[in-house]
Amino acid sequence: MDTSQIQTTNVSTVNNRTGLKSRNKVFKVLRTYPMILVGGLMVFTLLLIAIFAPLIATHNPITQYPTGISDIGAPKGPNSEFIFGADSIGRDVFSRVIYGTRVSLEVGIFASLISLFIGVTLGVVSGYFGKWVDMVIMRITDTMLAFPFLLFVIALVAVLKPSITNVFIAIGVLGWAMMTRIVRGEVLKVKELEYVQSAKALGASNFVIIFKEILPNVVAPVIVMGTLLVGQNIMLEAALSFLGIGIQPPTASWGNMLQDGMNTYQIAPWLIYLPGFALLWATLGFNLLGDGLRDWLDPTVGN
Amino acid sequence: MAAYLVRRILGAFIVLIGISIITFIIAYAVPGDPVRTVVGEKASPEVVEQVRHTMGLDRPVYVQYFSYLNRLAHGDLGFSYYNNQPVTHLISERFGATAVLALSGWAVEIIIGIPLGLLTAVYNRKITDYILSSLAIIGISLPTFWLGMWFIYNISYKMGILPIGGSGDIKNLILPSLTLGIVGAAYYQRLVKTSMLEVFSQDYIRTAHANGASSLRVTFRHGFRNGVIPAVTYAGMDIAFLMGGVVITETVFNYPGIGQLAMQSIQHLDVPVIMATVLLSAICVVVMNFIVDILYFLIDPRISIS
Amino acid sequence: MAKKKTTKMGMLVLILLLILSACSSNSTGTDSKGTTKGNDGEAVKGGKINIDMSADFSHLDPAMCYDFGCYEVVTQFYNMLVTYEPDSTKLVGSAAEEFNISDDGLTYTFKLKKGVKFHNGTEMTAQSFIDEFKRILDPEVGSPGKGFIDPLVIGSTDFSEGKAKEISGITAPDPYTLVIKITEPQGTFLNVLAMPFFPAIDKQYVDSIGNKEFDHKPMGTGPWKLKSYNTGKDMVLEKNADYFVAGFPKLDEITITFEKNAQSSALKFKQGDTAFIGWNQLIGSSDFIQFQQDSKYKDLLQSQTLVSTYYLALNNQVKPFDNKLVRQAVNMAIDKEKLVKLNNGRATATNQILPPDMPGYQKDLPAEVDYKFNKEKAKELLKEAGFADGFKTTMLTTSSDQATKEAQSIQSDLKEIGIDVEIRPLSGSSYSDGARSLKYGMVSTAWFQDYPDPSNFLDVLLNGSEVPANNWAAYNNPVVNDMLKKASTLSPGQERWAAFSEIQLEVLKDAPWVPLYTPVRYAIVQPWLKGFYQHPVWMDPLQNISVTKH
Repeated sequence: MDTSQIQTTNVSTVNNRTGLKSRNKVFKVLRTYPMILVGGLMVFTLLLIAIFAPLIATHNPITQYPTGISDIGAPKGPNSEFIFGADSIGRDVFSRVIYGTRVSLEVGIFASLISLFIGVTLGVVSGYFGKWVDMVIMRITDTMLAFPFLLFVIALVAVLKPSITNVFIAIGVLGWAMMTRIVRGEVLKVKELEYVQSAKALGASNFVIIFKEILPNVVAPVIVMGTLLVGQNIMLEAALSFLGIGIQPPTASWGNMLQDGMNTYQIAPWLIYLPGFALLWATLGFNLLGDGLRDWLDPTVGN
Repeated sequence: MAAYLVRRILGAFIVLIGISIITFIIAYAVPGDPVRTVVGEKASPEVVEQVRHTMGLDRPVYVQYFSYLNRLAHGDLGFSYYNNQPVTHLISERFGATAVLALSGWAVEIIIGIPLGLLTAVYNRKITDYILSSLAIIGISLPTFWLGMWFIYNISYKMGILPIGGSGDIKNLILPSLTLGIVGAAYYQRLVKTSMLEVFSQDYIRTAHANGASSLRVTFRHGFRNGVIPAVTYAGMDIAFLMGGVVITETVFNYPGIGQLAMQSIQHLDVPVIMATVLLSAICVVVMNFIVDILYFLIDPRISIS
Repeated sequence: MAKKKTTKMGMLVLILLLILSACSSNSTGTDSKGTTKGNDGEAVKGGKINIDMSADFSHLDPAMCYDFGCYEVVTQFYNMLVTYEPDSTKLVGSAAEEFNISDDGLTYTFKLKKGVKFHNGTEMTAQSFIDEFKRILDPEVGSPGKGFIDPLVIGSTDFSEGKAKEISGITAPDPYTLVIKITEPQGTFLNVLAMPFFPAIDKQYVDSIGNKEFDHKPMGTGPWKLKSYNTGKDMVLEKNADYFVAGFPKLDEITITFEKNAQSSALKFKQGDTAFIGWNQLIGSSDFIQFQQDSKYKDLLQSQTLVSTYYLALNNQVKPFDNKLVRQAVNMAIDKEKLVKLNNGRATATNQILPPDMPGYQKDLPAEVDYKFNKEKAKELLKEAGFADGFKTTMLTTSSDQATKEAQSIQSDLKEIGIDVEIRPLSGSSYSDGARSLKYGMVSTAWFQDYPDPSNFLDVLLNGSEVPANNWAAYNNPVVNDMLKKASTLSPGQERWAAFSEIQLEVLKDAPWVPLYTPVRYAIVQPWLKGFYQHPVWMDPLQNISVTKH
């Protein structure tokens, strides 16, 4: 009785997977997993903002407007000229948040792609070839996972000198270990499947097997992980910039805007509202989307 | 048991070696010429060569690595570029504070995360679940530094209940550990929820339900132990997260621990101290993971061998 | 006079100050108006206070300490021969009972106070000072104070090069008499001896723990003893009950917490936890505005114009700043009034090197060296220099919030005439090392007087022999060097000031810097605190403070 129950859940998962292929079931997926809808919409808005930033922004994000600060050097609050106020050197907060979206997504996505590339490659190689290759790669992975990630990235960026490129390189190059582990696990499962074994028996090359049989099967968890990773990396960039070793001025980043605001928020709280909200929006969007995708595609990745 | 222990020790040992290699590479290879960092740009070539020799940097890389390892083994982490103090001294002064903060951050995660996990499991797919799960995911998405500043301004200053930053008293610990823990709590919530749902679907719970026991009672009677244990195991992994989180928390709250030291050293480009904090945190993670694994093995030998 | 002050790293003085940002010192009263107001209560004997410090101390060894951060406490642990009066720049005896300068200005004789004890009970003698002079000259110690006495003091060079075992020019005829002989008259030598490089130290103590330890475990004759010190966290000062000035210090204990965040410090002040914000911590921009607008705090503020200049050192030896036209263009491109605004008005824009309170300052600069803000003219000059399309360069600044804010303002001004500036914020010694490496196009920095004499600006910062120690502009003009050499022998007075005014004009023609502004420093003091004042040269008067009932 109980076993049948468990099997039903498994079957329903499988159904969902096949549902991906038929378009008319998209609605059903979105209804069953509202997180995908909500998260997806949130992420989509960000993408639109990033792409159309020049059209949305009301000001040049790096111009320091004399009208932005008062005679005693206090930033001007929201008014008809600066709808979300100006920052401590007279730049338009709204336009900076808009352009900051670009930086956040750029770092979030590029860094994640780097991690994804390294992680998937190592994970597939490790899982597929096994033996000593697996052992070496997994030990390296364990080592990477032992480092407190934030501290690790901070150290590397500090040593490399802070710049937008170094930020995403550091985040990307150090952040692949979790991905490797998950992909390897998936590969181990897939490898034993009948059709993979038979392809091997028929003499298909490793290369062909990996690309034709293995990779398509790890796409789902990779998408899930990748989505969550983007959110994480956006937060990481903001943290680095907040600490002063991320994106350097005058380039706008939510993190360095928050840093500016942290010293002034008592008299100018608007400096931390909008960038903080944007950051929350972005991480929440990617987390919801990632979680939703996970629930839908692969309930077993949960842990 | 013995075989497992040996394998586990060997694994941890290899990871420790890996950590030392990586920190060595970052500390000595990445920043350009360490000799120039020591003697300055204007020094004559003879001086540079002499210092290179005394620093042992004219020897092959592997020799340098082994001498680095040798120094590590003797607890010698070198001297701070900034104030010439032995790095070991700087770190040992602050290690305790960070350990206390990380531990209380973990306590916050557990105290918030586990009950939240139980509740969301019991009320799975009901309104309570949706509300609490949403809160949890917002918690994960909250920027720590934002939260910390909010606490300082509203709770420490406006309400005047707790001190503004600093350390030394239990009162100083409350806000930093909340800041550190709230974000991580959601992971425990998720973990507990998943494992509880699994437990609920098992025989004896269903029987208990069939016998008319109330939901909550069943949860605590039967579900708790089985559901919570996996969550506690996660603590091993969590250490890495907490040790990273302290950097921001300690900076925001002016809490004198390893994280603050790391930030101060970064502003001084004090590479020996930066790398020592990274190295030490990583070692902590490995050791904690090891301890948790062993404990877990002792509690339940069936599960942990994986 | 071949001055060879290569180790004189005066600039370190700024680092903390830049962190503290807009800073100021006093040239008037002991009790500025702020303190007198709230002093209704009776002063309580003893008591403890808490204060913040924006960063941990770089050094506690008097031979090594050369910034305003460590001055705050080093001057409390140790006593120099002479010191400044509480409310002026007049020098009086400190460890010395009396002093005498020979008519030819070459021999200084100090009669020391008797019975002065170190914190460990050892008695202070003339030898205690000789030992410190020797440490300063010892290359092993590597003191930035060396240049102040070498080669000026007779026998100093021989000692420092290891050719002599004693400094022949410094002798102690008896345990309470110290005689210092110098090679040529120097109007500022007494000021030099008042610097925290030259107090009495207990050599036996230093030898027993070594120089490195001594940098963290100070022990002198001063009003305060070190009770505890946790690096990067806090320091507790304890009253020296046997201090030789009766009735001082007034408090029993001072706890200093290192708090990088100026806003947190201001919040602690508002909560009444922190006794004052003076040299120890900057009043942050938004906090300052709040204090000023709040009647509860407005009267607690004290202000003082500093004898200091914030400036941009342009690298005169590197392209394109080796071109005078480019330097002049940059001078005209920067909106200094905006920088004043970003300081919440706690500054006055300036176009010259010497600050207004320094002798030699020229009220009206000749038009040809008075580079006024003029973007169009700047663009023209740049075009004339062959950089019509601008160029790329780097700017080193400290990493404080205020410094980066100002750097961004300058960055945006220069962008308008086509110059792309990359800002490189560094802190602590990496900042000063970076400046001395001369690899940046510009360095945003400041200079605060060590003593009230124009040579402390022009000779220290712009003499070719000071490249790169203090002359971060790498400015080396033989004509100016020669003028400086001549002027340094003049004794304080109109003739000397006029000579330095002329030197300043000569320097300004070359536009090696962009002088930015003269800072005004604000302190805020609790109404229950008595005896606080801002001094023109010294830091916060910790030994003079007492609390009233509150």
